[in-house]
Order: sequence, then structure tokens, then C-alpha cells
Amino acid sequence: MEKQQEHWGSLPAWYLFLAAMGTSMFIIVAVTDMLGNQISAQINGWVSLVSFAMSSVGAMLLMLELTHKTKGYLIIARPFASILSFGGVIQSLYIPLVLVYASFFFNFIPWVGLVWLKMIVACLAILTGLLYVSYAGIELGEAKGRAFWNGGGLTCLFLINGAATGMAALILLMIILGYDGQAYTLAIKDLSVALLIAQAITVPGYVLGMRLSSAEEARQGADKLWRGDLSRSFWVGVITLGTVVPVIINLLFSSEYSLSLSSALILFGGIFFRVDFLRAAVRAALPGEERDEPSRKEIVELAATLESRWQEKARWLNRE
Amino acid sequence: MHWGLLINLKKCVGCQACTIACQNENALPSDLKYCKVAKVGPHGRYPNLTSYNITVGCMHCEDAPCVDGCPTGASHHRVDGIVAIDPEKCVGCLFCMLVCPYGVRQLNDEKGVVEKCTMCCERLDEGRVTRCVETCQLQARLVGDLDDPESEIVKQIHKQNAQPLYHHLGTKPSVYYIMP
Amino acid sequence: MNCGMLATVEDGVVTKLVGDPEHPFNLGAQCPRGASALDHLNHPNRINYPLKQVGKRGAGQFKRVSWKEALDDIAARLAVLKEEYGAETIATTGGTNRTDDFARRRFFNLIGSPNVVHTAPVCWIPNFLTESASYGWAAFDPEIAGARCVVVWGHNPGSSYLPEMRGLLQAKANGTKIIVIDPIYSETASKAELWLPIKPGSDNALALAWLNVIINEGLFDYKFVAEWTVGFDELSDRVQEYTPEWAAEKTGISPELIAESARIYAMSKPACIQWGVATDQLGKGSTASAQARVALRIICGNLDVPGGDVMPGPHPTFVTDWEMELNEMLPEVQRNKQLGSEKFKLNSWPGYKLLTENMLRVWGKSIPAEWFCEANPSRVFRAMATGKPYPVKACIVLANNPLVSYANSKLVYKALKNLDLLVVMEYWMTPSAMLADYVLPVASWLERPVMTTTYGVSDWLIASERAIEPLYERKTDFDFWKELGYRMGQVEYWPWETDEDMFKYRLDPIDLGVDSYEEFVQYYRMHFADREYRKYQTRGGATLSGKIELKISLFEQLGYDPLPHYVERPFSPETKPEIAEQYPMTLVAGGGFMPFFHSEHKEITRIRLLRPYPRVTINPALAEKFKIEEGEWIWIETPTGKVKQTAFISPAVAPDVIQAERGWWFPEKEVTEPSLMGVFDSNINVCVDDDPDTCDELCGSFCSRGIMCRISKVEEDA
Ligand SMILES: Nc1nc2c(c(=O)[nH]1)N[C@H]1C(S)=C(S)[C@@H](COP(=O)(O)OP(=O)(O)OC[C@H]3O[C@@H](n4cnc5c(=O)[nH]c(N)nc54)[C@H](O)[C@@H]3O)O[C@H]1N2
Ligand SMILES: Nc1nc2c(c(=O)[nH]1)N[C@H]1C(S)=C(S)[C@@H](COP(=O)(O)OP(=O)(O)OC[C@H]3O[C@@H](n4cnc5c(=O)[nH]c(N)nc54)[C@H](O)[C@@H]3O)O[C@H]1N2
Ligand code: SF4
Ligand code: SF4
Ligand code: SF4
Ligand code: SF4
Ligand code: SF4
Ligand SMILES: [Mo]
Repeated sequence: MEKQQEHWGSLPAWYLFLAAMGTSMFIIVAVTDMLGNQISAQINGWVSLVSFAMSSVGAMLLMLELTHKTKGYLIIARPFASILSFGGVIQSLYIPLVLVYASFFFNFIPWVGLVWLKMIVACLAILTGLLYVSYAGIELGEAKGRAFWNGGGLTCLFLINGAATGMAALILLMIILGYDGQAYTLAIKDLSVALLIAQAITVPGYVLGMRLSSAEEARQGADKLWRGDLSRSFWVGVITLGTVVPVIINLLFSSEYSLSLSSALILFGGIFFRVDFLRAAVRAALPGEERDEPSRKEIVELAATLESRWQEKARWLNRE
Repeated sequence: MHWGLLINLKKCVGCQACTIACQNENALPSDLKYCKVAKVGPHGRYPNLTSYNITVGCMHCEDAPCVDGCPTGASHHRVDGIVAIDPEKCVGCLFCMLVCPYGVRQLNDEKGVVEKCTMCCERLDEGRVTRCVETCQLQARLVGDLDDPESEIVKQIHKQNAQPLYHHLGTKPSVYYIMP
Repeated sequence: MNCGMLATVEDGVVTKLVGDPEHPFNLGAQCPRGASALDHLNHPNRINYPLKQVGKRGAGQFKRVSWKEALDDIAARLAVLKEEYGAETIATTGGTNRTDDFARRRFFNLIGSPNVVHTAPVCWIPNFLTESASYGWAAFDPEIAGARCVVVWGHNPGSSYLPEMRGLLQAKANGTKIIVIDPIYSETASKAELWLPIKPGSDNALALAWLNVIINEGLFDYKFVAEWTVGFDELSDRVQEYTPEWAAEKTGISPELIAESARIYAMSKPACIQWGVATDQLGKGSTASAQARVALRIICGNLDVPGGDVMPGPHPTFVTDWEMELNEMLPEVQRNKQLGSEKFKLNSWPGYKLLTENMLRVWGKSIPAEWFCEANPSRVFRAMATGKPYPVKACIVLANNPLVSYANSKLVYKALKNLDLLVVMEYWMTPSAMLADYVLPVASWLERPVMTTTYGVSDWLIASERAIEPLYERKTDFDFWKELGYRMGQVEYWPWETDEDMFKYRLDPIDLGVDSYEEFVQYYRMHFADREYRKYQTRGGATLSGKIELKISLFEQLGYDPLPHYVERPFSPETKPEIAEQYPMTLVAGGGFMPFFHSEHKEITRIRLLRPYPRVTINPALAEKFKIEEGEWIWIETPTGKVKQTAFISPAVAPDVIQAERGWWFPEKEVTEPSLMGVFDSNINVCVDDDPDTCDELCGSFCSRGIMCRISKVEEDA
């Protein structure tokens, strides 16, 4: 059974990526703003808008994945029982909160001056944001039988990578807004280097740990990344281009161009990371599943071919 | 009342009648199978071999990750222990497919909802056995009340020391297997 | 298998079909084919109207005609051919037991042709006839439930007879020992106590060695042998040379295991031997191996005892197939013209005549000529192809797909192409039907009443009604023979209006006081004649000596060796050393598997999806040697032909043996020639030889188990 997890494809991976990136970037800026940082105070309107956009796009992607989009609201029916429902509720709180937060930075909005209100909104948004970036790891951890996700460290990995991509996005935004070269930008850059170094250790560490796991399917999943069919995108995409190269660039250079490049690489690595980790978690194989059966897709195709052929033949046979 | 199935792998010959009968009973498209049959092995070197057949459908877990995880409440437990899916509520998020350790759930592309073995609950409600039990020439399948110590299924489970598949996953399945 | 089904009919439409829980065989169960019978009934590609070929045969240009037009023309052409070449120029082929075949024989006896052919020589008949010759009927009803040991010999009920497998496993749970003799780790072998992994085709050697052990160790039933049998001393002398050591080399089973298994069989009493058609398909030597097995049953005292090999005998009152056939209408001169009867005498008129004399004395009835007294297929196809020894110009193919089911498909093709008139009565446009001048639509079991009597030789019968009238213009086989018979001057011999009338006539002597066939089905469904055990004591054996014959006098009368003996396998390095090097592997060309029935059900989508492509099983070591991967198409080649199937890698076969599936053609492929729905692509009978010299000497069975072959990779997507 060398198959990959085939239920959640790349759309959910993009969703996880966008949500984590957008939310982390918001949290960083909102927190530093509360701590009195000037630059964050100047940009956080834009950041919140971007975060809002990312989360909204992410949410839309998720809706796109649903087969019954019109009933999508049902997703939040069981917030205290189902982690997915919980995530849905958090997301539906976060998205308007971050939009309201953004509104405090545009002078034409009537409530701009209400600082206490802004503080309350900021706190709520940060809180929901934190939950929002964390629940995904917990959610996947629920999948009994997909032991590759069951490691407690998964949430950590997701947080680290989320923060790193959030920072990269932030840096890109700041470059666009003309804030490159500022101490704040450089501080973020240094912080992201630290996170990336952590990622360079923890991500392979997690996979290595899973390779040594007692659960067969966890080993299989880890092997897919380590040396199996996902190894190229893992080692090249996630580790080399998405982690190590940006660290080197950021350590050696700090020009506008090098920063843009490294940030883009981090984002790119982030997508690979989500896709790979979603794909790798194979289910515990049942007895007898070691043989390759035709996939459902092949069966559907064959069935359609046969059925249409029968119709064709029926016309021939029943010709007058 | 807690419906359960007992499958005797000493008897199953892997004929797939249950698969096909179930498809007919539930008017499923040909790629959807509520009940899959697989041959395990033969393992070994000719002529020292072992093999058996296994059929896998929904285990109707008491501690069902699919029910816990379903955000809409579409997947739920009936009072008689059967794990059922309300197609009106299912939005096709596929999370249940992700968390079901037995991989028995499938998306019905035509209807856009997730489906799986229903334990033929309508038939059971009418006092009939499930279609797969009825169709098995080898009488390798038995359906009955796990709560009733006098039921044939409970007696057989004890007598033959039947076990659920992968009980270490902790989902408390209602389907038991007599291993070969 | 003839399971009982209950059909729900609403407004003349069958809406639901489930197993009949009261039926003694299936107890309400169904196999995948039964479960999808409605797909079969309503499939868009069922033949619904008589079709006439208006272009070249094989070009697929059919035109719908009326039944009247078709039958009138067929009758007229048959009459002309009969006039010109004699009645024997008209032949018919059938497959396995499916329909009311006594009607076929009745028709042929009345037109005067002895050339009726079935796949009988490779299915059941050699064993049946050898038993009949030895003790007057076949003991084909093993009482597994009461047996202490069951030997399943060349038989795989786990794939081919599920209800029987259920009985076997129930017995096993109650302590019955199960021994399976099979070169392949079959479904049944995997559930047995003891599996003897025999080399393909070496069954004869094993049976002889068992005789040797049992006789020399004195494990046989002295009393029974002394009182009720003849020929034991000769048998005892004869088997001395067949030691376990001798057999070990032939069978690949160690002498110890041979002796051990023989002892288990002999010392567990009662025991049964449940043989399967693998033992009919050994080619030359098939009957000799049956002879040895028959002797085993006899000397161990298992014949016709509770828990042993029970012999039914004919149903005493019901009008049996034999009584319906009108064999007496076939003149002696025509009997003598039966193709192959001069060589393969046991299952043709010479043997049948003697058997019937014996049976009439004891039972008052004989076995049907249909199946048990037939022309030899290889001979008939050769006569069609070459006109020798005389021309066979017309053939009615009914319930048979000869291009797929008989050996040497390319020869069969030549034969069918060469005919002046080919009529096929079918459900489907099979490759064989593609070659026909007329393809006629047949009603299936839901559209006709069915009466089951297992080749017409069981002492019970089970009846069912039609669920619906035939759809479209489908007709029952019986109707076809009857209406063709009318047109050939047989009006007085077909006095029944409907199938039901005919069955009612046959049931009347049972005297159950029913007014119609439907009433019988409603109130009785079935009738089991009273059975007694040890009929040799009360009635005597239906043999020349009146005893049970270990030395078979009927074989002697026909000029064959009356005692068990060894015959070298027809395809082995010993018999064909000149090709041994080129064809180093052994092919098993057959073995039933779920979900298909021979060449059928390929167009039932749901079933087809369970097995979309043909599979040949090869050992992992062989796969490695040829760098073959699972699912890859590979060529299978013998001196007779070459086909491809997909590799299924499994240690279930020995490293030098491959097992190819039988019955493959592809209804979805191009229908016209040369493809004919891929009938030569994967159909293993393209590779199976039917040279009469390799066939069984008594019954003419071709060899499908143990053929010299080789394999190679199919290079590109050919
Ligand atoms: N190499 C090899 N060859 C073999 C075998 C093997 O193991 N290996 N097995 C042999 C054996 S045991 C057998 S029995 C034969 C089987 O030989 P066949 O009986 O010829 O095999 P089928 O493919 O079942 O073909 C029967 C055809 O009759 C049609 N049919 C079914 N029922 C009816 C009916 O009631 N009326 C009419 N008119 N048509 C009907 C079906 O659609 C089908 O096309 O093959 C033999 N050939
Ligand atoms: N699913 C399914 N069921 C069927 C049929 C079908 O086509 N499909 N056909 C029906 C018919 S007509 C018949 S006759 C029966 C036949 O049913 P069976 O009597 O069971 O015969 P097969 O399945 O042909 O072969 C039985 C076994 O013989 C083994 N064998 C092969 N070569 C040898 C050999 O040299 N020696 C020995 N001892 N064994 C050997 C094969 O591995 C196989 O397991 O099945 C009936 N039932
Ligand atoms: S119907 Fe019975 S024997 Fe056949 S595969 Fe299903 S459980 Fe096994
Ligand atoms: S087997 Fe899967 S679908 Fe069935 S109850 Fe358990 S978790 Fe749910
Ligand atoms: S796919 Fe349907 S049943 Fe499954 S978790 Fe989502 S809503 Fe529930
Ligand atoms: S219980 Fe019913 S739904 Fe479930 S596998 Fe059996 S036949 Fe199918
Ligand atoms: S195809 Fe044969 S075994 Fe299957 S249900 Fe019908 S009669 Fe029974
Ligand atoms: Mo057969």
C-alpha cells in the first residue's frame, strides 16, 4: 500500500497555508502595534486587510471543496463536539474581527478614534487568530489510523511554519509599501531566520521520529517524504528551497531584492509543506490491501466505457 | 439493543457476492462498495502457504471518529448502535473519510454525499437480516444484538473468540471477526 | 449450481430477485451472478429478435427477421443438406448442462443424426461413465455431512460450487478431515487440513500409489471386497509396481506423504472422494485415473454407505430425460456413423449400448444419451473443417460458445467458417454467434420454467415457474426444437403446447394429484425419490457380473484395459522430448473462478468490474526471472497457439507452473472479423491442443491441465 491520502487534496492544503500565513502575519503586527511599535501602527491596516483577504480566500477554497456549498453553513453546527466545526466557528469570528480591526486605520471610518474599542477588537482577533492557526494540527491529529499525523508535535510544526510564512508575507508587504530597510523589517527578518532554523530542525526531526514510530502507517508516511514518492518535493521544496536557502540568503544579504527572493521562497516552501504533510498520511492498511486494486477512478472510467459500448452495440443489434 | 455483525473468516471464500448484492440492495453505482472483499495472501513459499479472505464494511464503531469529527452532525449514532449518515445534512467535507481508520467511507459522486454500509437498517427495522448476510452462500456472516447475551451472535463471539479488527485503535467496532 | 430464487414481479416486470431461503441448495443465498441476474435479464445487448446474417459471415451484418421466416429457412436448408449428404451432416454443439437438452436429442434422433456434441468429455462424463461401468451408476452424491474424511480431488468448490463448499466447511467444523489434491493452492486447498500439491496431470500416479499402499498395508475392507466385488486379486497384482517411491517422482509429493495421506483416507470410515472436472481434463489417461479412484472407493468400502459415496440411481417414476429422448428412433446405421465412436468408445454408441443393457436390467432405466453418448468434439470439428471422414455441413449451436469453450479455438474457427449453415441460439452476440447465419433469441431462466435434474441422472428434481413471459421475441430452447421439429416432419412427436405441459407430462407418473405444472411448483417444488443405501446388496450391480467390478468387464468388452494402470501424461518431457526445451513450463488452462461462469457474464458491467482483464497466475520466482510485474500483459505460448493475459503474481502456483484463466473474450472489442471481440487474444483454448492422439483413449477428453508452455513479456501495448 504505497498509496497516498487521497481525500483532502491541494485545495485544503492551500486553505491551511493561506489561513496560517495570513493569521500569523496579522498576529505579529497586531501584537507589536499593541506594544507600541510605530511601523506596525502604520501598516497594520493593510496587513489586516491582507489577512482578511487570505482567510476569506481560504474559507472560499474550503467551501469550494464541499460538494454541497449551499449547505456549507452546517459546518458550524457542532462547535463543541467537532474540531472542524470549532474551526469553522473560529474562522467565522476571526474574519469579521480582523476586518473590523482594519477599519480602525482608515480615517473615513467614523469609529476610528475609539481606542478602547480597538483594543478589545485587537485582543479578540488575536485570540481567535491564535486558535485559528492552531486547530488545523489538532484536527489532523484526530485521524485515528493515520498515525503520521498523530504525533503531538504536528501543531508545533504547523505553528512554526505558519509564523515563518506569515513573516515572509509581511516582509513582502512591507517592501511593497516601501518600508524595506527599516529596523522593524530587519527585526522580522531576523526572527524569521530563527524560525526557519527551528523549522530546519523540527520538520525533518518529526519525519525522522515518525520513521522510527511503532505504527506501520506512520513509518510508511514518513518514508514517503524521506525517500518515497514525495521525497523530491519534501527535500527540495520544503527543506532546501523553502527553509535552508532563504536562511542563507537572509543571513548573507539584506537588500530589497534578496529579501523579496527569500520571502517568496519561504512562501513557496510553505505550500509544499502543507501539501506534502497532507498527502503523506496514509491510513493503516487493512489485511489484503497490499495488492493494488484498480482505483475508483479507473473503475468509473472502465464502467463508463463499457456502458457506452453496450449502448452502441445495442443500436447495432436492434437495427431494423 | 446494539446491532453487530460477525464475520467468519474461516468460511469466507471471497466470492464477492456480498459486495454485489449490497450494491444491488442499495442501488449503488458500480464503483461504490459498502462491503469490500480482499484476499490476504497467499503468503509463504510454495507449497507452505497460508491465505484467507476478508470482507470489510463499516465497523459501526461505538467510539466513532467519523461521528465525533463530523461538523454537521450528518454522521450519527442511532439508538441501536448503527452509525448512520443523514444525507440531508452531509455537506461533503470528507473529514469523516479522513478520520475513519478503516477507510470504508466513500463519496457518492452523483449525490455529493458520503456513504457507507448502513447495516441495512431498514431491513433490520423490518425484522429481516441484512442483504449481505442473506446472500452469503457460505453462511460466513451473522447479524444480531450484541447487547443480548442470549443472541446467537454473542454466543458465537464468545465461543470462537471473535475480535474486532484493529481494536487497538480504540474505536470499539461493532463488527467482529472469527480469524482463520 | 441451480440455486433457488424468488422473483418479485410487478406488472409483468421483475423488480427484485433474492435467494429462496427454502431451497435446499442455496438456503436463500446467491453468488455474484445470481445477485446481478436482473442485469442479465434486462441488458441492452441481449439478443431479442431472430437475426439473419446478410453479409459475409463474421462481418456483423445482421438483419432482423421473423421467427417464421428464420425457422422455415433453416428447416428447408437442413432438409436439402440431409438429402444431399445424409442426416449425419447435421451436427449440434452444446456446453455444460443448462437447458432442456433432451429436446435437442429428441430432435436429432428424429432427423437421424448421431452427431450431437457437448463439452461432456471434459466435464463430468469420463468419471461418471467409469463409475457406471464399474458399479452401474455414478456415486456422485457424497454424503459429506456424515463422512470422517473427504478427499477433494481436482475440485475447487470454494470457487465453483459454493453451496457444496458450505457443506464441506460445516463438516470440517464437526471434525471431518479434508484432503485437497490440487497443484494450485486453491480457495478450497487453503481451507483444508491437508493439501497435496500435486504436479499437474499426475493424478493417475497418485491414485495408483494410494491403491498400492492401501492394499499392501491391508487397510482395505476385506469383507466387502470379498462379498461384493470381482477382480481384486488382479488389481492387487497390478498395483504392485506403483509404489509411493515410483509415484513420488511423478507427482512431486514425497513417498511418506503419499503413504500417510493414503492411510488417512483408508482408515477414516466412512469417507468420500469428491472429484472435480480437473480429473476429466487430463487428456490421455483421464479415464485410467478415474478407474484408479473408483477402485479406491470400492476397496475402502465407501460405496453407497451413509457418509460415503452415495449412488442415486434414476428417479423411479418421473419421466426422465432418457425416456424423453427417443433414442430407439435412431437407426443402427446412423449410430455407427457417430464421429469418433470407433476410437472413443466409452462415451459414444458402443459403450452406451452396453451400459444401457446393464442399467435396464437393474434400474429399468438408463442414463440419457445426451452427454453420455456423443460424437467426439475434435472429430466433429475436423469433419467440418476438412470434410473427412465425411462432410459435416450444418451445425446448431445451442447453449454453447464453442470458439471459447472447446480446445484448439483456431481449428474450431475454421470448422465453423466452413459450414453451409450455422445456427446459434443465444442470449448474447458471442464470437461464435458472430459466425452464424442465424442468431436466435433465447429465453432465460426467469422467462421459462426450469426443472433441475443434474444432467438427467439425479433421483430428485426441483422445479420452478417462469417469473415472466419471455421478453421481446425470445423463445425457450424447448420451443425452438419443437417448432423446428414441426417443420422437419416431427409433428406427432411434439404433442405439448408449452414447456409447462411437457413438464406436467413428465411429472404425472409421480402421481401427486396436481392439475398443472404451476400447482406442482406451488405445492411441492421438488421431489426426492426414496433412497436406500447399499443397493448392490438389494439390486446387484448394473454390470455384466452383477457385482461391483474392480476389473471392469465393460472396458474389456470395448477392448480397453479393464484394470487401473498408468498412462504417461500427454504433454510431458517424457512423451514429447523434442519440444521439452522450448516449452519448459507447465500450463494449467482452467479452473473456475468467481465471478464468471466460463465465457459468460463478461458484459454484465458490475461483474466485469470485479475482474476486468484475464489473469494468469505466476510464481514470484518466475516473475523475477522474467522481470514481470503485477498486472503486466504476458504471452502464453504452446505449440498450438499464443495468447496474452495479465500477470498475477502469487506463490499459489509452483515456480514452473502457470495457471491461466479460461473463458475470455471481450464483448466490448471490435465485433467483426478478424477480431471477433478479441476471441483469439486471451482465450486460453487457443493454446490447448485437441489432437485426438493426446485425448483420453476412452472418452476423447482434451488435456487442459498440464500442458507444456512458455511465457514472455508483451513488449509494448500490443
Ligand atoms: N481450457 C479449458 N477449456 C474448458 C474448460 C477448462 O477448464 N479449460 N472447462 C470445460 C467445461 S467444464 C465446460 S462445462 C465447458 C463450458 O462450455 P460452455 O457451456 O460452452 O461455456 P459457456 O461459456 O458457459 O457458454 C454457454 C453459452 O450458452 C449461452 N447460454 C447459457 N444458458 C443458455 C440457455 O439456457 N440456452 C441457450 N440457448 N443458451 C444459453 C451463454 O450465453 C453462453 O454463451 O468449457 C470447457 N472448456
Ligand atoms: N465460478 C464458476 N463456477 C463454476 C464454473 C465457472 O465457470 N465459474 N463452471 C461450472 C462447471 S461447468 C464445472 S464443470 C465446475 C467445475 O468445477 P471444478 O470441478 O471445481 O473444476 P475446476 O474449477 O475447473 O478445477 C478444479 C481444480 O482443479 C485444479 N487442477 C488443475 N490441474 C489439476 C491437475 O492436474 N490435477 C488436480 N488434481 N487438480 C488440478 C485447479 O487448480 C482447480 O483448483 O464448476 C462449475 N462452477
Ligand atoms: S458472500 Fe460470504 S463468502 Fe462471499 S465474500 Fe461475502 S462473506 Fe465471503
Ligand atoms: S468504521 Fe469508519 S465509518 Fe464506520 S463507524 Fe467506524 S469510523 Fe465511522
Ligand atoms: S462529509 Fe458529510 S458525513 Fe462526512 S464529516 Fe462531512 S458532513 Fe459529516
Ligand atoms: S449490512 Fe447492508 S449495507 Fe452493510 S454491507 Fe451488508 S448489505 Fe451492504
Ligand atoms: S449463478 Fe449458480 S451459484 Fe450463482 S446464484 Fe445462480 S445458480 Fe447459484
Ligand atoms: Mo463443466
